[in-house]
Amino acid sequence: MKAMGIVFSNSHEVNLPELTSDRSIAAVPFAGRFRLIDMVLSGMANAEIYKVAVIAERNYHSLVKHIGAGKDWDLVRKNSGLTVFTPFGSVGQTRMSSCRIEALECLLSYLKESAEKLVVISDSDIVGNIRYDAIIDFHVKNKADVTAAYRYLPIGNKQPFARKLPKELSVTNEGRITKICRGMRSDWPKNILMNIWVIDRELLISLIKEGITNGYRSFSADLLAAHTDDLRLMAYRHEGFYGEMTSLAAYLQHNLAFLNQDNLREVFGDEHRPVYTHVKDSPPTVYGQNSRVVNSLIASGCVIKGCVENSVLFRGVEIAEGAVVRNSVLMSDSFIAGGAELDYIVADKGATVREGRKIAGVPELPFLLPRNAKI
Amino acid sequence: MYVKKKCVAMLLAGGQGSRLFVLTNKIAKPAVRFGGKYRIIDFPLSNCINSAIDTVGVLTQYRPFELNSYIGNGEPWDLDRMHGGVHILPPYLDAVGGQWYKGTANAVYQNMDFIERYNADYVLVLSGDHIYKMDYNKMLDFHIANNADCTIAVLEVPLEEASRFGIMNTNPDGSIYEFEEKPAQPKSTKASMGVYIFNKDKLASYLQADEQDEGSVNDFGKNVIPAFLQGGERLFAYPFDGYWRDVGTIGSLWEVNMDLLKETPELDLYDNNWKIFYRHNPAHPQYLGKNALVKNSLVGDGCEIDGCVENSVLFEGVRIAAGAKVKNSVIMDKVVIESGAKVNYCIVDAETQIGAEAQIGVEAKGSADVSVIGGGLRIAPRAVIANASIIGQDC
Repeated sequence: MKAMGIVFSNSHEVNLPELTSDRSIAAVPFAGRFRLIDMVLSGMANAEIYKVAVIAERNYHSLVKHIGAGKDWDLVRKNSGLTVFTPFGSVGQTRMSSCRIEALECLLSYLKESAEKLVVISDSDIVGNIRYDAIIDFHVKNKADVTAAYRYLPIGNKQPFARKLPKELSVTNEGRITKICRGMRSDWPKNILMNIWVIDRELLISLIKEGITNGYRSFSADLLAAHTDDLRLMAYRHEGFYGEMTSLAAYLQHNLAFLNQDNLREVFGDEHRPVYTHVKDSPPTVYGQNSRVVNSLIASGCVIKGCVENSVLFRGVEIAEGAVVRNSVLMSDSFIAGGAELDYIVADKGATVREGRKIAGVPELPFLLPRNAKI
Repeated sequence: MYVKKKCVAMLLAGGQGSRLFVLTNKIAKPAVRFGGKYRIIDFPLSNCINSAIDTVGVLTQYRPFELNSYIGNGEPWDLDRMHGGVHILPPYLDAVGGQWYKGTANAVYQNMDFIERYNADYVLVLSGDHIYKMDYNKMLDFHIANNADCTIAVLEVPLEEASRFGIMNTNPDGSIYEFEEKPAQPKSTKASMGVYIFNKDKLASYLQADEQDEGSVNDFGKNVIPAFLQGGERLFAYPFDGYWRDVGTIGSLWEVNMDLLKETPELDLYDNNWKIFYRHNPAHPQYLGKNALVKNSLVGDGCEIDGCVENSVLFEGVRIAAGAKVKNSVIMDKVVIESGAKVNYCIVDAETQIGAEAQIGVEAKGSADVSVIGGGLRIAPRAVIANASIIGQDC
């Protein structure tokens, strides 16, 4: 069934302030050559969703530069394609939207002008190769009014630290949602809401109006929670790799998760559901005579003469001879000089570590090198 | 209406490249892979766009499918344009029959309509066989400053190698008085790079005359340039002093790939002001496993390496299992090398699978011993392949 997409590009930035001070969370670099939004846009393109609205509220310079007109995701289409919605004042507000429902209100005329039967809504602070097409099929097959994707967390599976807890669902055996709320009993198995929704377009329009009228703030915990009885709210369980950017530690952990080849192939190596990104025409990566690189993910355009272990390197990173990098994520164009040693570091773009400097964080609290920092 | 272009490039890409054997069984030579990420044609196309020449006709003939789909609408080279851009120009039928391209000059002759459409003042003729970075715009300035009718880019080559090239004999002012194709006794060391700029009107009339000449083989080097000289036109040699290599043979293709592994390669692929653009495939970053040992090598996206790689160029999506050893080799896209296999001095074309403990070229010592394994093949476990073999079928 024909669907259009809505992507929130600033979702839950409060959880990752270290990397979102001057970019939206959707534009946070990830897994060596991607940005977080690549997985969402590619997933939608792979589900034949060719009309996508990206809601960009603030700090969207990196994002807009990255996605451009949507060419890299095959989203330059004659009658639909990619549209970026920045805040505007034509609906009685001249400020940034303060909640998800206000942000959606800005899309009302866009939604009304569209012809697609369904709308897929997704956050962009998530990691995984999401099968939006399977969620749509599930939605249609179950004659749902609204479908929410969730993942199942068994008992004892501790959630990583987050400033803002994710919402949880109570789901009946047939998959119907009976309750949506934040932070249920911690010793229970959990159904964590992924903030991915499939909803009928007409219904979405009337729900947005209702949400504004009633002053609701949360799309799920206020607006949809009020309709568990009179709407058919269904829950789709996502299997496979999934991660949320709940903290800097989670960011490092989710990057390093792709040193596992099964995860790597599932999310970024599936020929039938590729993850596209903005291309940079980088040359191949060159390894020097004395380089030693093990269990690492390396983007193109790097020059590696030193030692790299259990790490993720983005494009154009240079590791000089004698440098040692372990358990770290180094974003593009970082330079690590000889004799430097890094352990549990997240280096933002263009960071430089000079000769002999030794810096270490710990898994629960990685050390952050800010963008263009020189140490 | 078509916007006038000062200069239009005609890129000769119809050749088979028969001295590349199995590598060009199914693809034209300009589509042959090079340098871990690229195809040969990426170099002239990137040079064009970097030289602000945005109208390029690509003359195809031999096995054009892969080349055509690679070029597509020209978007990777920023050559998808409302005015100009890249055009694939195959031979065609017309009211009086039509014919295959008989030679390089005939290929351009058959497409004079294309050049006329853009009302170009100058025609840049390029070939799709060479690896080099060159600013054609500087050459065009030189051509205009000399009020030349034809300018030929030349490279200084060692005297002992000069007899392998087309040699330009020049006056002190740079004008050409004689052209000798592969002279036994070379009088100069200025070798033609196969890069020409012509004044369009002069080119049109000489191509017309060349077409009438039944004895002509319709080749720029053999016929058109000598005719220009004989006609007393102003021909100039444009000196180029950068890195330029012909990759027409297995040995040269291997060597030019290996040149990229030198401490400071003469061909700088890392210059952001002169990028070589290419068509991308979605891929994950390269993954080096717990047993990987990669030294002095160039590696593309999507590779998964758990074995040993030394002095080699790996293209995209190559998989090398733990215990496999690859040395002094060029391994193209999606090749799989299983555990215990040894590959030495070898070019392996795309999507070939080399079985466990197979041995290829283990005794090879240099570029003369380079083996070639064609694309899409399966080399059986424990197979042994001698130096300098050319393998075109499963074994």
